[in-house]
Amino acid sequence: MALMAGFRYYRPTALDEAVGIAGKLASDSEEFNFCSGGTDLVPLLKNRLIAPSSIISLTAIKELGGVALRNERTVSIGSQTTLDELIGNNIVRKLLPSVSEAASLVATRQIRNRATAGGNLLVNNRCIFFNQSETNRKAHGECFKSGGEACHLIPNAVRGKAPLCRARFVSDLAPVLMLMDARLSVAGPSGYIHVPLAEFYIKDGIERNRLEKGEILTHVEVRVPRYERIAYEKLRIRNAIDFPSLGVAVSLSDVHGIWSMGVAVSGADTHPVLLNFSTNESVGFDEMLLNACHEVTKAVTPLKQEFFPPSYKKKMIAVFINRCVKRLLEKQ
Amino acid sequence: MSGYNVIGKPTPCLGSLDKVTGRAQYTDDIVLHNPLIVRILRSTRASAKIKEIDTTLAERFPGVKAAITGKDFKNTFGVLPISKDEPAIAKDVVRYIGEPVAAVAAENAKAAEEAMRLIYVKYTDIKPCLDSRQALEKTGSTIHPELKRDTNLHKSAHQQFGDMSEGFKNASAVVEGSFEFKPLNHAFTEPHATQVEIDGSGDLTVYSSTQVPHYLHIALSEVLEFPLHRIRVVKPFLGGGFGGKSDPFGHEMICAKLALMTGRNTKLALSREEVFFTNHGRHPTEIKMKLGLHPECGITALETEALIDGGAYGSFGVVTSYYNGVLLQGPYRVPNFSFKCDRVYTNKPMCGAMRGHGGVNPRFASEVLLDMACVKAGIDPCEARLKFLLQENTITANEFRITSCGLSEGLKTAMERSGWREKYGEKHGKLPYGKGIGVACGFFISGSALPILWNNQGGKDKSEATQSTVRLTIDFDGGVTVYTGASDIGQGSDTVIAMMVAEVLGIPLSMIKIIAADTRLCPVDFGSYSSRVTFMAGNAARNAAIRMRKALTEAACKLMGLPPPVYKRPEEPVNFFRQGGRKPDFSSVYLGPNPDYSDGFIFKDMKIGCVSASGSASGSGKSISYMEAVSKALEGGALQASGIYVSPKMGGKFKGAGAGLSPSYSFTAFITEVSVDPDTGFVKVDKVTCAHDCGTPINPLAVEGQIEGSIHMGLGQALMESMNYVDGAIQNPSFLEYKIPSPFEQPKIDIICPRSDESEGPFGAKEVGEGALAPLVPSVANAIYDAVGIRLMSVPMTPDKVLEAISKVREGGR
Repeated sequence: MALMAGFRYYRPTALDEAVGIAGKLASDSEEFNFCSGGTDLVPLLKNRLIAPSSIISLTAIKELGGVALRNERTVSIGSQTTLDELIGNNIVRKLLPSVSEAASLVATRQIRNRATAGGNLLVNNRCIFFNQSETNRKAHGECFKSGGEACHLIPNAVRGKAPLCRARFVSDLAPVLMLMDARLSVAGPSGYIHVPLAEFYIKDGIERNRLEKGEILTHVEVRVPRYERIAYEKLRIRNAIDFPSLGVAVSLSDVHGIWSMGVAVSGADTHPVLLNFSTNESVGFDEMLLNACHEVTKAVTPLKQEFFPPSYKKKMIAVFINRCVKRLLEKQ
Repeated sequence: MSGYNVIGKPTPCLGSLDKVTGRAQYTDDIVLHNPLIVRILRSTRASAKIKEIDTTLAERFPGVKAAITGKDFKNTFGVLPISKDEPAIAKDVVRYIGEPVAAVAAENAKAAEEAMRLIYVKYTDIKPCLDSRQALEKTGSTIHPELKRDTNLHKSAHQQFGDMSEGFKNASAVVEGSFEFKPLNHAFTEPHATQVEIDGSGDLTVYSSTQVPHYLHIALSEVLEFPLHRIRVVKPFLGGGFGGKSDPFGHEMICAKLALMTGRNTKLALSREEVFFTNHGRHPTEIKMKLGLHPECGITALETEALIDGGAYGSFGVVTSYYNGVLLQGPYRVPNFSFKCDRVYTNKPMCGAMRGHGGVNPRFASEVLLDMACVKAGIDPCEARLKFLLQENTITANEFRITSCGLSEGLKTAMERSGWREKYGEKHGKLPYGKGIGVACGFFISGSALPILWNNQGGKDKSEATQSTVRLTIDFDGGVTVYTGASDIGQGSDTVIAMMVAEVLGIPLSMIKIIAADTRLCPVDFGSYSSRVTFMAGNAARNAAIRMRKALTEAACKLMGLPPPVYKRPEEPVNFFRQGGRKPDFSSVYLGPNPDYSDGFIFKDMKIGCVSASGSASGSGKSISYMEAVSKALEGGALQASGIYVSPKMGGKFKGAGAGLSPSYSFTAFITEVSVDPDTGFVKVDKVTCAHDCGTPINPLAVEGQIEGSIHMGLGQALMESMNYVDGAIQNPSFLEYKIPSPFEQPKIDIICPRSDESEGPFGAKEVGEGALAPLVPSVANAIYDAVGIRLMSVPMTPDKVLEAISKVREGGR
């Protein structure tokens, strides 16, 4: 990894100020990036995968930090809340234990101490051909994501055909929060907007999500469930450090004998895959579960990008769904 | 072992406090005056002609002082005198992605990096050879045309002993298998770094993270065409080597060359990615092996065919080729034995020596096959191994002499402590499905008897080259300074050497100070590789201390009015296997291995006491303070002594007889317990019981550390590690994607050091740095078999492979 190129560094203390700086830079056609913990951004800078002329740090903006419970009904997680805080926070532990659990499975303690909730939801997609040094990228030639005209995973990929980039989505928090119907608060030049997390991500490793340039993810808002029943299972070869090779979150609820089940999958495709299932007169629980395993496996397209082969990841989807369900039923 | 004051006591390594407090100066930490920062431009092609290379723009970049290319070096180098095929910077052709093609030295890192981007290189691609099978084909072009060969074969090593067909005929169970192993990197903590200091007369001091300061010294002199006496190599604190720092490297030549050209100090630290490009790790290997077993006689025949992928250059490859065969000559009797190992060149970063050098992969194959044969023959794999082990004082088919062997006791203890009998039962599969227990054994050299550089010293036979020299001086306050060329790479060799000196002189360890791995200050030692330091430098240190003790004893006798002790001339060893345990021969340069220095005096508590001075019973009970004796001895000027180690003559006369030849061998047994998740294929190693015969453990704390480290490293190979190449480009050159186990994967460990006394080892010691790695890997495989009934022959044994094998077994209806 080489040295970072030089950049101007802004550290606003208020959200307005940050939006203002971003607006000014945008109108001057300057490249810039927001930065929270930097655990995702700095390696990209060092590998010259991005080379902004300005970086706007969000860490000094107090209103973006911490977790709050509003009206006993909504948990609001500031985007700058570190993963470590998320794990230790009493509100999250009590009301959203699966968020706390998923956060505890991210990377390492050292990284969780800096990395933020917002950063995890916005973490850049990864590909073994993209996350490389300049030297190693030149060996294959730059790919679409790094500014070239090729995809080394899909050799005949061309522009205009979606998804262009197959870099995989690797957030551990997203699948869990999606099952909670989490909503993102986003600040931009024209004020606040709210986006359901389930509609936030895009099936493309370059575009990734609906956040526009200059917009800042400020909070994640989750309605407190009466009784949270979400389990998360993460596939990785080591019990630390690694991004999810596969992350499967399952939610389960039964209302008057009708079972509903949500499955969200991270780590294996360009975007988090979210599917919902339920029982009815003709479909019983076991059939719903079987159907879920089948449908989710079909909906996810892993490619040979890292440690585990795609076929293995596919096989693990059903295994992990079943594990999550087993855990949830045992918890009951 | 009893009666020692320092030896055998768990001792924190010298310098530990500096390391944990951050005070320790590793190569990159040293602050030289205003150094130029060096950066290396590396090839982005696996195989190409350098059509054009232009550094003009880089040289003009502000702050840049010099830029060099392959043209600036005339001579190539290589750690083995027989394969000096590596250029410091690629000249005319590049042979792997990551090979240096140019280097710049600039006032700061930023200028150096920007300038590097301005170097223009035009390549003309040559079809690369990336596969070891392809390397054996005649394609009309080769990676090393200078060798004038029609394929990319680098070395073909083969040996045969006994009668193979007779051997297999006598077997009641014959098993065979094809095995596959991935390339591995050492994954040490400290990336390679080099700093070069140039003085007013243009002489160089090269600080480098190296296991072999002496070889580096010679290589620098040859490549730079610069006299040895004008180069000084110093190894500062070093953060792990495992064989990955045991060659001289291009980046070391580059920094020295740039210092000579600019007259300025230079500095370079490799990035982790560059460490992976530099590699020299474990060879990707294919092994076909066939083993014949007779339940009473043991292994009747063992036949091996190996193909190892060496990458672009030679490195230690010739040795690796032999080790893939000869390190199968233990720990069991193998009367009929043959192997052939081909090492090929391919367009990838070169492979070399890595912990357990060349012996790890064949050990996996042979231990898995032995396990299969035991199952086939219906015998307990532990009992069988106990029965077939090499005995003390025997000689193997390829004429390795086995002096001490404590494996029998070690394996028995491991069986007891792991509960083998209850857990394994009558036959495999007794534990619940998914739980398994497995065994594997191994052995390793305690230093190569044949030094790499057999510089014919004083017209001596090459096998009698001095492998290590240690010098001691005593200061006015009685403190001892030890000068040794041995390279402490974190394994604790400095501590072991200091402990040995403290033991002989009867003074506390705190009074011993070490100056090590500095080619100007320290006598020659070949360095830290082949697990030689405790044995060879240890013997030299012990001998130096015995000489020092003699000087002090004589001074004490003068003060006490006693005649000096009489040392009998040692007798010729009656037994070939008993060269150690003799009286020191003070009339010879060499005191012999592990000489018995009992002289009738006791050195203890800063006193020198006469118990029954040999030849002078009248002196019994008299004593004098250590300091008085030191003062008396210092009357004659500087008080110093030196000791050396030379391997005894041994080995056969056939080709390759020197490979794997060692004055003594360590032995290891592992009993490993695993849990296999049949749904995911995940293997969790729950507990490892390791019996390692390292003779007398000099520093039990370091012995434990070495064994725990070996287990951790072995687990990496067993379960997850692999350097992945796509079209010659390594895809995982980082610790995020190259998976070394985290602390969470470390199993429970129970370590047994069986009673064993090596007559030639210093205080009875043997190696512990490498031997404990190899058998761990097959012990995991054998435990997996016990757990779920699958035989894996492809390493690492990743969850996908385990799962696939399990489903095959299930489909097979078993």
